[in-house]
Amino acid sequence: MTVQVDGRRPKIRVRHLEVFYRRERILGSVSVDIYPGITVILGPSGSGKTTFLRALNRMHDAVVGMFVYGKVFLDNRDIYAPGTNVPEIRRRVGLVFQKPNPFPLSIYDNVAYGPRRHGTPRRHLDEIVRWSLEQAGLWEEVKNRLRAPAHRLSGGQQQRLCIARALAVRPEVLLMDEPTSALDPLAAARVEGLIARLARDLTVVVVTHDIEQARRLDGRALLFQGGRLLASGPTRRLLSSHRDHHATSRHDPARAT
Amino acid sequence: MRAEERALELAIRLGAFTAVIVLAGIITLVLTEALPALRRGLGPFLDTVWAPTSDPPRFGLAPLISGSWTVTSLALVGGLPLGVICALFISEVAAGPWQEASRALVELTAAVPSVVWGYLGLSLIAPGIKDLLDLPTGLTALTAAVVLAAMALPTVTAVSIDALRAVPADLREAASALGATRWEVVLTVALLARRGLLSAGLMGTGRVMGETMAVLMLTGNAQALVPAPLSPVRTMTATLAAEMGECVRMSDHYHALFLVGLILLAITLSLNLLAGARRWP
Repeated sequence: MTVQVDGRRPKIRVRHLEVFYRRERILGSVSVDIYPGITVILGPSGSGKTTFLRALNRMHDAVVGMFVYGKVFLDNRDIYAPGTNVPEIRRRVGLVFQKPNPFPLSIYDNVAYGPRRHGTPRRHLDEIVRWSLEQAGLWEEVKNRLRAPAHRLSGGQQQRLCIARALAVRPEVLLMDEPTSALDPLAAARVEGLIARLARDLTVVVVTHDIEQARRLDGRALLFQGGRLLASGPTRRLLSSHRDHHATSRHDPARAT
Repeated sequence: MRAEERALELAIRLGAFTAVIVLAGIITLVLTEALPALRRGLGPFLDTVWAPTSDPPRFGLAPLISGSWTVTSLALVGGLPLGVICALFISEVAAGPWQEASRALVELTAAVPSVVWGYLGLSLIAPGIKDLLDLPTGLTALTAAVVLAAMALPTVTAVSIDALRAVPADLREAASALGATRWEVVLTVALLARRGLLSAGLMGTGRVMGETMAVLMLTGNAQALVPAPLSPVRTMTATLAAEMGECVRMSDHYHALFLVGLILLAITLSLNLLAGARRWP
């Protein structure tokens, strides 16, 4: 059974997803549909937001002791089915981390990293790097120093570089784990604007601590608490019907970090 | 600060200080014993033959340096890639008991005394190389190099593992999140650790350059001015070990040997300093 929203079909359908760390269930069971456009994931620290996000491109695979059960359909194909090409899933479903983590390489090599792994011909690289940096709103700032080390960039620029790096492999879905929480307010605002823009073409799933940010990004929201999906729906409606949760979240000490 | 803490700090300072004193002492001793050799200038050492007991004695350093160079470079061609590959396996590929076992095995090779390595080389490698390549003798630069490559393995591997472990986990995750395969992630980690791997190489070079006993047993100890992998060679270390006990104290020969020692010390010290300077930024 698939519900269509605004005439769109879900990009990702999650069914009975459970995540265990050793013998402890840290998430589940979650069944939810994720639609093209923006989905924000809300909830206090330790509620399972990040665990859920990382299950969507199989990032738990590499962690010893982490077990994932259930199904995650990406365009009707279960990414946890046996024989799945995991690198291909990760190419289609990109991930941007909380802390900017550019490689200690040049700006150019950071963006070209993904395309090079996927066998993009050398003659197309310049074009892809430029396109990705433009998409991430960083091109004008770095176009004259593409060979400079990525670590010379400011925190906000580094995060936009990481977004450009993720976009360079032309993902269909972009997962973002609190992408603005390590940035100063001005840089955070820029990245937030960028996220809203990207969501016009992509399926963007953003974990955030920040209720105001969720409200500004709008779209749909998933509300997690205690390792379970508490509610899902249009962000504004969800926020107004869960004032209580909203209030507890405001007092979440992790928000202050 | 409490008394115990103060005592502990004193002990640590004393330990560190001792190391500095010993190193300074070694350098001073070698310098004072080597410098008299230069009193007649560099001339005698530019000869092409090292024959300190002939009449007149000849002190050409070129064949010894060339011998050390040949053996060291041959050993590194094999030993460095092998050490880095071992480190990649232990740090990035193996997991659980395999990781522990392979690491323990490599560390154990460090505990084999060098005379045992020499013996292994004499009984296995030398006859093998002699028969395989149809040579008049199995005691060649190559024979020593094969054994030295194995002896450098624990050093190169241990330092390489440290270098690989220093690559932050979030960069590994970034690589796999971009769709890199497992092998591509491993290669990326190696690329990002390249400075540390280089310093592992430098440490390994110092280790190979300074090795004496196995080299003395395996190189055949005949001088060769032109580096030749399949003929016997004579290294600086082997010369020191063979002749130091028999030379007359304070003779020209004695001072010449200390000059050889000074050259060795300078090379290995600078390799180690260079290695220390090239760590993860």
